[in-house]
Amino acid sequence: MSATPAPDPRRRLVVRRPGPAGMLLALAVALLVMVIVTLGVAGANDVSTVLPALGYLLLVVVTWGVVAGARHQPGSWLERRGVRRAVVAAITADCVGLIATSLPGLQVGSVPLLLLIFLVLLNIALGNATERMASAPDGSVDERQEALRNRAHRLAYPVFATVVGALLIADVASTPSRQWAEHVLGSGGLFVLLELLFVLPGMVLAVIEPAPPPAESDIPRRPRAANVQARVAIALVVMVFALPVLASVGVVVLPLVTTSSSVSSPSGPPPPGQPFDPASCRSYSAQVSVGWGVSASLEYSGQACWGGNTAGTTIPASCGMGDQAFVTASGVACDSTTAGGSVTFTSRATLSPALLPFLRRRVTVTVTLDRNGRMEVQP
Amino acid sequence: MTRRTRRVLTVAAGAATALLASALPLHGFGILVVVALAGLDILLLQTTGGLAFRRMAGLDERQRTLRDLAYRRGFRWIGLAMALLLLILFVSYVAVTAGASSLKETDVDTGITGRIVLATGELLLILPTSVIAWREEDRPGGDGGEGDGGRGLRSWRAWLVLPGLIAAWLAAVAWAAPQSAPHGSLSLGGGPSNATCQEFAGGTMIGTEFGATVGFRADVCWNGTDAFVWGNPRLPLPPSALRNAGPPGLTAPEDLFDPPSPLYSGCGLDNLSDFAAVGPTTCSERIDAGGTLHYTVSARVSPLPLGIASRAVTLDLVVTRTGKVLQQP
Repeated sequence: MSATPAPDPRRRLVVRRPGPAGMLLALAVALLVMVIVTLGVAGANDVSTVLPALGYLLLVVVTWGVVAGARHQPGSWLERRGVRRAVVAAITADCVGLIATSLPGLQVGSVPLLLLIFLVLLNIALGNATERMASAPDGSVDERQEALRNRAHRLAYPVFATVVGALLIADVASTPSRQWAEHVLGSGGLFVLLELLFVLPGMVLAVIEPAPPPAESDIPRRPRAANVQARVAIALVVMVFALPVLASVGVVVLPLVTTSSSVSSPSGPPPPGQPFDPASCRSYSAQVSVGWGVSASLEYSGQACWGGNTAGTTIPASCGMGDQAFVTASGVACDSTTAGGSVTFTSRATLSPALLPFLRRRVTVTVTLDRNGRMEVQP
Repeated sequence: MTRRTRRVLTVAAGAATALLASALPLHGFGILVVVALAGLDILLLQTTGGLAFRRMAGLDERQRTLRDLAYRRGFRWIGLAMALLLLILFVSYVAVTAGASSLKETDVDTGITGRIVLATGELLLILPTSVIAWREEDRPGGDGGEGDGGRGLRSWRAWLVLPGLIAAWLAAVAWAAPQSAPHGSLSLGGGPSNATCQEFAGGTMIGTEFGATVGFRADVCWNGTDAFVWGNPRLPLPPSALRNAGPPGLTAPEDLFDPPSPLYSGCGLDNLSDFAAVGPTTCSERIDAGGTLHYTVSARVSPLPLGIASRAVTLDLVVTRTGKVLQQP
């Protein structure tokens, strides 16, 4: 007589993973798409400003690959109930952020793009935490899991209906609310809707699924290599989340970098009352940059002549913001003053990282040209 | 009801939803489709005993399992069903506008139309119930169905929803405050070479999304002397518009400079009459002594035949001879 073994109450899902070639191809395509999107977003910005963003996107893609490829083991940290709920809370906050940054007239730079990147990573984490049970094929789940995911869908359904219903009511209620609904649906709200449609049951599942049973001593310990891969995945995820925050703080704390140049420019007329001397006219430019990755620069350029007694501009100066990456600028102002035969050009702006808009830094660049043609730049 | 009957009801509800979401003209009778759909919903709810909406305490193990499964299938169907509705909308739109390719789509932005709002709401409301009605097998000894026990919404009182629905719709169309429907897009318009022209569009919605919209589009030109509408020969051009409009010494007929251009200034082309009829639309123009244009569009919205509970709608556009907009719907 043979005894039938009792079914494992937590039978593992059989998830077919793509091979290394398929994974590499997917990563390459994803990277290509991201490069195209990033370059499109960057527009006329300098390539050196885009490069850190591209590097970050590469990090995201690598993290995606490592996290998705990390072998899932019973008792994994992602399976812990607290971690699962934290991931769900993060997804919820991300979605709220996407809606909030979609409000009409709000200038938030590239924050929605960052939120979307976070959302993708959080979805991967959620998929691993729940073993993608919510969307697994019927044959790959046991009876307990089937009941659990059905219940998750039942709980998720009214939430989804409420969100869609709120949008429909906004469309009907009044003209301003209709315009708001249209604007939200045409921007970040669409992604939130798709997120809810495809991931909400998984989120509910992550919340209601009971904690995994404690690891038994007779369960073989995971191989060391798997441990290392999981730790690398965790480190990469932490880095992906921390880098934008650190780079945003860098806008406030990193030292200002000043660059200036001055070249002979004999084309301009001299200041009033001065004899024309081609050797006494120069084109100059000064730039103050701050931050790395999350960065901005303030520029001042123009042309000036001097004649031993006074100095003065000869053509209107160009002044204002240079390249900006994930930074918003406000209060941009430019002026010039003359004193003691020297002319001083001042450009000011208040910079704020788009991700942490409550941080601010007032940046001023001053270019002084004395009557002997010497130029001094002070940040 | 038998399983076969329940499936027929489900298919009928799907067909009515598809009709609602399509671009096929309803000529003001959309409320009839909505009432029919509501009737089908009531039948489906009755035949399933309202299982999708019943409290957990009153359900046995089999019913809980069936209900949870229905919600999972229903959730999965939502995305697919919405995509199908969009496909139906696109295909029917192409079919309906195939013979009118010279007219561009409406310039008036009415948001998500009432038809799509109702079709989406219907999907969200009834999909789990439809899954239950479709899947549940007939019971031995009876003709099957959760509703055969006489519980839930089977009561005749459920049918009171229908007159309530009609009353709410009628009240919305007859008394609800009109909503403005802003322009969908504005662009530089066509017109005589000696004038600056701008396309204007807008409208007024009666009964929110569930009534009718009276819209307008007008290509308004101004030349420093007068402002006028171009592209509608029924509205004559002022003398200043005809002066210097052609080569020196040439006296050309007015229709050479003001050809009919419904694309720019069609009258009544931007009306939407899915749930209430819009009567004949009149577009009139008055240019005062100061050269200011007063363009007026009027129509009558009727939710019921014979003009019962109808409302008059008037839209005014006022533009000065220098192009300054003084009034716009």
